Amino acid sequence: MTLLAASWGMPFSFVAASDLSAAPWINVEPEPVTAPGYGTDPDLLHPAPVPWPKTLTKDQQVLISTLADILIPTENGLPSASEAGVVEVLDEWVSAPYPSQQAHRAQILSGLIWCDARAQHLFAQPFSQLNADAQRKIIDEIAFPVTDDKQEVPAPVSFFSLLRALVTGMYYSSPAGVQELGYQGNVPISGDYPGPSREALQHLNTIKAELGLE
Amino acid sequence: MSKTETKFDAIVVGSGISGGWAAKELTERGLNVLLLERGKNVEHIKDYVNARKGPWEYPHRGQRTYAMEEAYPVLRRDYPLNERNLDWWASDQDSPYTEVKRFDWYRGYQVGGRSLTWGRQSYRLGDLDFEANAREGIAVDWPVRYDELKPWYDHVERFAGISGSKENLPQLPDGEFQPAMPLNCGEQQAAEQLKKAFDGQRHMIPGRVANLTQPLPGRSPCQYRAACYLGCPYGAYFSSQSSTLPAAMATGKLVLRPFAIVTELNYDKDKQRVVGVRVQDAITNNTTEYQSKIVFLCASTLNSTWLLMRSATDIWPGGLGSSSGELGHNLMDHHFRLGARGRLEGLDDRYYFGARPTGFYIPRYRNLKGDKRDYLRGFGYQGSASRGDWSRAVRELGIGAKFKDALTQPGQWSIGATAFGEMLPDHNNKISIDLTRTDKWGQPVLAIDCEIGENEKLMRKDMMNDMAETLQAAGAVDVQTYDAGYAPGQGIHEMGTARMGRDPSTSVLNRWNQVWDAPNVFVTDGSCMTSAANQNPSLTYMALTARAADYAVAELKRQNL
Repeated sequence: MTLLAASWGMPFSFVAASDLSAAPWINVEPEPVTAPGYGTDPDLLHPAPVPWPKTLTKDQQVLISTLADILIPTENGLPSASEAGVVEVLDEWVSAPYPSQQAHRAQILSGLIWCDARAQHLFAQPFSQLNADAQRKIIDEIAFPVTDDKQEVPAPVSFFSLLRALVTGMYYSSPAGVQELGYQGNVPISGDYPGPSREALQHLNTIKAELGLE
Repeated sequence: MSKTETKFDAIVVGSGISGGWAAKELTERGLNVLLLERGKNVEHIKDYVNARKGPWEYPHRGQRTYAMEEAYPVLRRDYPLNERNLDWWASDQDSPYTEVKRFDWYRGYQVGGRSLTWGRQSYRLGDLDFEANAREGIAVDWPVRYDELKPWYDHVERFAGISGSKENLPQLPDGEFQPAMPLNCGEQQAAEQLKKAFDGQRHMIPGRVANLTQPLPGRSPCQYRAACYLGCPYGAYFSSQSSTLPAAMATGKLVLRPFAIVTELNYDKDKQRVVGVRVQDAITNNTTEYQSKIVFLCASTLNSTWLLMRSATDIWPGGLGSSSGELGHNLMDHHFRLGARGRLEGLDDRYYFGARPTGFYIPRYRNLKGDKRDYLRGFGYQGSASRGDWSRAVRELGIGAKFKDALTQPGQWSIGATAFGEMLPDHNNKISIDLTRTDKWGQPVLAIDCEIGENEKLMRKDMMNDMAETLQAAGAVDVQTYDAGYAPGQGIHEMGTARMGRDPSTSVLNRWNQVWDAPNVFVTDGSCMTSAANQNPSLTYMALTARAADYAVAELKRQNL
């Protein structure tokens, strides 16, 4: 992993878990969500309106938006995670009355508190108010795996892993994310295969020429 | 042929793999055939309504729901319960059965039967298999040998379209193959390494599969979608719909009647023949009788046996074919769900093409060429190598643009395989009629009493541990074994409850699949199997059916039936 970080030009080396504990990790036990759920087997082709209210505060939304856009920033004209609507979906997710989502809710809220605590510890400001370099310094502490397999994964690292999995899933299932993937779906070709398009052939020929083939 | 006609030359019960072949072979030899199917019609292509859907086009993303789990207490036990092809699995509520011991019975009650959903792995049995019972004094001898069946394997392979490679292995005869779906580079590397170990006795070869790599009339080559279980709009895998039924229809001599539950074979004790069948309409419950000169029973192993047990009970209380005392006994399956997996290294710059609907096969090598184990028979492996997708350890991937790039790269190479083991015939593994319960149509249900024996349990140790050492020898690292547990029936290879033999006192069928007590009744589905071997059995049902049909027509012409 060190090699990988080096090849990515990471300005920071990995920090040991003990450094992370300089900011306290507080296990939040949020009030249980008691709103109604969908019930079993909802029809996802004709989804009913979400029956539970969203619960994140404005500050939490801002912090999640900041973190999500560090994970998936605006790039080459493509929208960032927050621009693709990830914060709203994540709010709906952690506000859902199901046990697994409520567990995620506790972990996410705890992680948000830690991020601000870490920011206060290092820079005496909440995370969202830090400049990009400072934010990045904190994220670099938790966005990469610990070096030692045997070491227990620190809670802030687990939090960020969960956030990454959720944000990634939500981004790539948004209209913008699907468009970015360029996924065509299962498109049948009736009759004989017509061969590649002229553009594709030209592209291939260019590459072959560059490689000195033919 | 009129739809209201009730007299036919032949009646075929069941339209799955065996029944489709019977209909084709009999009509092509000039017989007027009535093909009876207990379930609904499924029209080729038109009724493959989910074949092109993405997961998001299902109300529940193609997965199982709580309601489905409640409605399908048996089907839920394994992979078949899913939203995508649920229509092609029989309802546990409409068609219950009694489990004296746990037995998973996954049924396909529609035109095409389980030919629509089968795994398509297609391997010949060889004399190693046909001679095993006699050599070891197990059960009874098969009344056929490989030489006799070989031309019929040739025949059905050419028509069905089996892709595979010739390997010249005595334990797994070669066939009339279309070009194989090749091993991918991970599997090729493993196969090469494996040649250097175990005296070269463990062969990793391309899976032999009923998916086309070259076109056949009306059928296109495989599109590598691995979506066969939804029905193939290209007709690229063998099913009754894509293959045998169109051929039978083309003769103009086939009448196909769905929703026709055959409840009894009408036996004439003076003629000592079955003269027709009684049919209950699955929708109206009305009863119709049909007459024919011969009957082919291809209703799947347990249901063909049920039908025999329900027929001619005034002569034989145990039913037609029970005079041997073996009808309903010797139930077999293939035991599996264990093996090993590991990682492959050194190929991270390589990938593979498409979603191949097969993988590699490792034919049996145990109890061969001087190898002697503490159990009889052996097992084969089916597996594949592949690369992980984006959902792998997302934690490893960092943030930002580099993270998005990394997501588009394939993950690590892994390789794994599952063992499929032979189950010995055992008189104690049996089915019987449970008169205390009825199905939706008022018919008494089956009771199934089956378990694996000591031989299988001993074999399972090798099945799991051998794969670990095989993978290690093939260059895999981080090899781990697994045993997901096995219940009889999970192989969906029910066999043996109306076995063939040489002696009417110890077998239900003779060497031509004729019921000893009613020679104009031919039983050619899995119930005829005298032993299970370890190969996937459907190809053998096809060959036995085609051979029996040829014989039946010849016997009809000789006026022996």
